[in-house]
Amino acid sequence: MPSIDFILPHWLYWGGLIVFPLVAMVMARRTRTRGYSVPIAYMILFTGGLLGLHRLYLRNMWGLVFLPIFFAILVFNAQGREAREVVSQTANEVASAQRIVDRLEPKVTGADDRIAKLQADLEEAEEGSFAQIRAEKELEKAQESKVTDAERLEKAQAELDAAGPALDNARAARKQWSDFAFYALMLLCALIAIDALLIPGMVRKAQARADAEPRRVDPAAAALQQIEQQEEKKDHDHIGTGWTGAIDRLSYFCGEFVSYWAVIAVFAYYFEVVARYVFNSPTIWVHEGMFLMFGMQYLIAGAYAALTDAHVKVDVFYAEWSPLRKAVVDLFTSIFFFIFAGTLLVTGWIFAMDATVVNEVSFSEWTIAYWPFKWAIVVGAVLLILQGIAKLARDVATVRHSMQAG
Amino acid sequence: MGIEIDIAWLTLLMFGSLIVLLMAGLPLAFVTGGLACVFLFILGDERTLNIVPSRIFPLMTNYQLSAIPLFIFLAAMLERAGIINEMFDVIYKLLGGVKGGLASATIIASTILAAMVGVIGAAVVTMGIIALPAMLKRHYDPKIAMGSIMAGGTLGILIPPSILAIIYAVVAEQSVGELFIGAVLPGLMLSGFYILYVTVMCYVNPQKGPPIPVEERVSTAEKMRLLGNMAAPLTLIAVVLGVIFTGVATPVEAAGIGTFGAFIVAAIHRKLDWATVREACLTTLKASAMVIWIMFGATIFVGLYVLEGGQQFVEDTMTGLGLGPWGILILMQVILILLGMFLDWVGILLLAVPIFVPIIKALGAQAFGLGSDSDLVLWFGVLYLVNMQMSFLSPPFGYALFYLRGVAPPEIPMGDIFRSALPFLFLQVVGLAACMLFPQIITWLPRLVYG
Repeated sequence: MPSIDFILPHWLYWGGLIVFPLVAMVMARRTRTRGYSVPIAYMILFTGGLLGLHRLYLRNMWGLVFLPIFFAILVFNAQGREAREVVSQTANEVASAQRIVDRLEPKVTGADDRIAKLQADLEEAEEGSFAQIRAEKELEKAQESKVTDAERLEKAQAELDAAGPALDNARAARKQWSDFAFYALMLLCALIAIDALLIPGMVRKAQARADAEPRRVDPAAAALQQIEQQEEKKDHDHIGTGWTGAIDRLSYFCGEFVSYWAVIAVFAYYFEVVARYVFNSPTIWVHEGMFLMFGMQYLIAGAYAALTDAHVKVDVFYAEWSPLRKAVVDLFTSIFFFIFAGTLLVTGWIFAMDATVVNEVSFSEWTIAYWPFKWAIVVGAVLLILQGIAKLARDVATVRHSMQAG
Repeated sequence: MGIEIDIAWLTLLMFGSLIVLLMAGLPLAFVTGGLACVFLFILGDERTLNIVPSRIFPLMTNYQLSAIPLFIFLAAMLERAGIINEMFDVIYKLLGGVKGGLASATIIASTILAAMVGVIGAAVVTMGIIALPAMLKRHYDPKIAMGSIMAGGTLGILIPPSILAIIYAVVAEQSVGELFIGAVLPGLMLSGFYILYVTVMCYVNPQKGPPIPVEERVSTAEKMRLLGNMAAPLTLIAVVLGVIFTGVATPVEAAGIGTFGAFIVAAIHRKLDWATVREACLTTLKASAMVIWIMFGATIFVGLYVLEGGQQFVEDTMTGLGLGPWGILILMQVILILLGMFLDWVGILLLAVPIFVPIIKALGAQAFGLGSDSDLVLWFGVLYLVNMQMSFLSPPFGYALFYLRGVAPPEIPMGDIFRSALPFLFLQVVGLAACMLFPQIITWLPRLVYG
């Protein structure tokens, strides 16, 4: 089974985070696609082709053929992982038996010489002397250990003889499962390659079938769609005019920019799971890259949420008040808002500066630079303060207008 | 400034100013964050303020938290794929002949929806648009109709994947997967209660929920075809929950592959294009920013309070009232219910859980007849989820009530919406009591799965 050793280079990570949202922004503003589309079909073929999802997309039930093959790969890989454990276990046994054999063999072969030498010593020794007693003891010990060493050697040798073939068997089993998985993968790849050629035709056929179907308009679905579109329009309506409008547009742009990162995360996690279970190669960068990316997203999204009034507040009294009263109270409460956002900016600056000076990187193998994530705190705080200033200006304008009117 | 303040006064000051600023309409995230900075400065000095980024950064790099935007994204994509109305359509056609079938269908559809989404807004709004007119047209009792929509919609908070469960797990340092599994049975139990209630009511008085006329009912073959339509989303739920429960993938990865699946489902329904993705992304961004910023502010606020000995103070006060372990637990639930009437769920979690969980842990598992400490925290967590689910339904500020108000016909008065929630609220209390008295409802399944 081929393994994926791909480690996302840092430049590609940062580049992707910048380029993808820009592309998405442009694409989202072009006309909507209706019906089946060839690019989407190819996108699904590329990402979910192993599961036959492209055929399911085109309502072609032959896609279900892919599933059993895919599950077979998963099963083969699970077997392969088990076999690998058996291999490493038996390999350990072989190694330890081999070590014992290596250690004992010279001892056992040398034992007879040693005993002969000790016997000679004993004969030479003076009757009744300490030397004689010692020599007797040593001789006895040498004879004993010769027996036990020989026994242990024999046992280790037997283990070695037994474990050797077992190791070979385990290795063979592992290779076999790996080969099975590889063949199944090749089969899927072949099917995908064929489908890559067939897709334009299949899309045309699916579209023709869809066009032939009677179109039924569901009033509920239409109402729902209207509400969804309104929601997005409502967000856009929060953008004001004049210089506060410029701040609003900045918050909106930054918010939309980082919102597309969620799409990156979806495909990255999908890649991680596929790499782990299909190619047996878990990555070292997906998890870290993605939660750090979301970390930046949370901070930068704060201003967008403030712009679109998405931060939850308690509406017990507030909702009932007149615009003037709201504006006056807002002017008072904004003190606490600016205390928080200002503290975040200043302390965040110190925090990020400290990391930048020492060029802090993550503890993982991927060693991505940490300081850009810490600067996201500063960026988030700046955007939030700007958004707060825009709101403040609008509140002041409200108060001034009603003073003039009154 | 380094001023020493007695903890009782500090409690009064911190939470008093919290309430005042909240009532003045400042968002919760900025109230807690701003006050935390003020009190950090009062109790310490300007260097103490450096705690702020060092409390926020761990949340930015928290692995489990990235499940939140992903699960919200999953829901947003499915919503835009038109799954929700299709599902209601299918289920009510299947149940057409039953008395009160539409109300039951609403609850069942909401339960399945709850297994796809972790928040409640979408379910209540969509069901309010689709199911409410359908039921009113067939002369259902509006109270039964609205009650089943709201009650069913709140299940999203309980049945996995639930955003609230993820946050609880992060705050209480629990396993997300375990909490998910623990919430399955209570969720299904409550859903069963609701269905039982509407069915009994409709059998007692068929005027409240007549079965749809015979000529509108569909044949068995048609029913099978309809079920086939639901195959893709149902498979998606099975895959997402399956990989979490078997431990094949982490909840975060499950959310990722689930959203990938939602892209495919949207494509199958011919709703996938860049504009749809954009709308879903922006919805996700807003919802997750709202949740996470409350976490930013509230962790600093509560962290400071706990550091100043607040948790000890609360514990001493509670034991000082002469309450036993059960008394304390019930008192906590009552406090949560009261908070739930006014405050947002994320806020309640972040303000109450860091204070309550250590107290519950200190009381010990034996005090509640539970086997181990991890069971205890799990049990308390799911009780908390059930409790919060109630807060969505409880007048005067339950979210579900207002979501429904937004989409219900204008001639229905707000008072009727309140009243329609009451029987379900009562069922909810019964469910909470059952979970308290029989902890096995919560602990049995996780123990079965994780051993």
